[in-house]
Amino acid sequence: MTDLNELTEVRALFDDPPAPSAQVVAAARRRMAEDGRSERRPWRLQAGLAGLTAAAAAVTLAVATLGGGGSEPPRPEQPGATENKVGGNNILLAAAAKAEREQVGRYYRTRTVAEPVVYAAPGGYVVARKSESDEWAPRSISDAYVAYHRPLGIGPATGADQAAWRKAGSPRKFRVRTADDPRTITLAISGPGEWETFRTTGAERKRLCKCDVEPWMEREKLASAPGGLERLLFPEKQKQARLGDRPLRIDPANRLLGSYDVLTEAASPKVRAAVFRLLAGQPGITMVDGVRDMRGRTGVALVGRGTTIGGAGGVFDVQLIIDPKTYQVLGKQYVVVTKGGRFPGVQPGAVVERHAVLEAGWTNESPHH
Amino acid sequence: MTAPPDVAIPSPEGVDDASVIERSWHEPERFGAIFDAYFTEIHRYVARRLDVHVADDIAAETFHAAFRKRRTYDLTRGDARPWLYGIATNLIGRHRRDETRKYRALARLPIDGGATGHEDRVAARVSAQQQVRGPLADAVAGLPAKQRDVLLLVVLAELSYEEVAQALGVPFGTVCSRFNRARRKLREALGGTNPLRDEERTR
Repeated sequence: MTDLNELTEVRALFDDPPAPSAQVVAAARRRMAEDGRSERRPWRLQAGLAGLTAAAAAVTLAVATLGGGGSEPPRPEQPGATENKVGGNNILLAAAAKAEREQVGRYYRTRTVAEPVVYAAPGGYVVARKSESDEWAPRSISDAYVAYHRPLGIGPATGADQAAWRKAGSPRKFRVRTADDPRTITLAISGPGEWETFRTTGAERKRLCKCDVEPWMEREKLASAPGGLERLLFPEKQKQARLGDRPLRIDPANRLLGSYDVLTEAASPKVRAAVFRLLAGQPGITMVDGVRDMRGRTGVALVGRGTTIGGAGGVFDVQLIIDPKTYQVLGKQYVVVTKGGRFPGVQPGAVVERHAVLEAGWTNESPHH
Repeated sequence: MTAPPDVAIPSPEGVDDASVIERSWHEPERFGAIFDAYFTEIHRYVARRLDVHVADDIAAETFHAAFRKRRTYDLTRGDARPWLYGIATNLIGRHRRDETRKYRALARLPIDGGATGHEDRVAARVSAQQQVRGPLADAVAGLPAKQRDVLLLVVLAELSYEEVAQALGVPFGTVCSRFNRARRKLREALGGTNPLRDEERTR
């Protein structure tokens, strides 16, 4: 097993460019104090400004979409799932009470399996690239941060996708596309790979962070300030409020995604409990019983609807699944409601980008997997 | 992370960027010291993320904008670097398409001019690097812009989390989260680079 450092690899991607020429420096120094209004800008920046206006328009559109209720598409049916608003808050309050009693240990360990990348195959089924990771985030800035990761291979995502894939003749290769990449790519079915270890020493972490306090403790400080938890979960809200007079309404989907992040990352018992309590009072979030996660475990899902940014008209539900007995977060996933934007070619009703949490919590063990 | 630290320009005793900028409110030419101290650094950062020619424009525009906004500078901040990187980051954000194109090119580019093919071992090493480089460049391209900004301000500009928070105007905790999320995605990309992987990309 080899140790890799993803940051060193990223640094190595970028060549060292030549220093700017004396003429460029001199011209820039002259331009600095010129009056921007009379100065004709180079075409690149003009094009950029036009883009900015378009981007601003897109943001306005997104805000309007988030705020507007109107004609909502119907929620997709999930077999065996039933809506349950009454019991929901009780579960969240019980989860908060349990979270509060947990003890902070030396490491926060998060073991997950995920299919962060999904592709739509022409046969109408979803192909996913799956992976498993085991992250150990230390309580102390002096300890190493260790993450183990391995690919689980590429294949049909869910049982239904598996069936559709078989019906299509079980092809070993298919041409697919994803929202993040305009290219059509050819994928081949593959199996699990080897574990890789990613390690960042305490010294390197201090150097990167240039700080002496563990970042999660900084988050704790932020969360305990008035209104801080909202700022921690939804940082865009604060920034947007500064940019314009109109407060940004965070859609329920984003509320769930922000909450999932804090619930599965190193955070104090107090913060985790506060997140559960905050979720109990969130408008637009419903509860559905009997939702299956990526591992086939059944739980109660908090469901929040979101729209894709950019006006492509995509609508999806985010599900944050909780075990109603242990109150552990089991995972999160998206259910496509209306095609468009983020999941091109994926049919309404499909469950995509599933993440299952196998283990999340503080421990005094040393990193291993 | 083997890049040498940026050469610090020694400043006269007790003179930090904030006091230079404050003086430049009435004596604009003093702002030249800020330009001289940081222009090359900002230019290099932009050139790495985009290309040298775009960097000529954006670095110049960064200082043009900084100069116009110098009266709004927060004088409690002695170091102007985060502020300048913040302005540059905003300007880079207008060139997202150029940036994505660059990563796509990086993903396809042979390392160091490519393998000669005469020496099997060299070819194997280069091919191993290429295996890392391609998926990694794709992963950086696929990051949400906000995560990419944080990642590259830490890795390329070597700003501290606190400085990144200042540069982007977001809370410290947000910087940590975005950085961690970006790293996770990079690991996913690297983790997929084992030699057994059976996948091919076509344009």
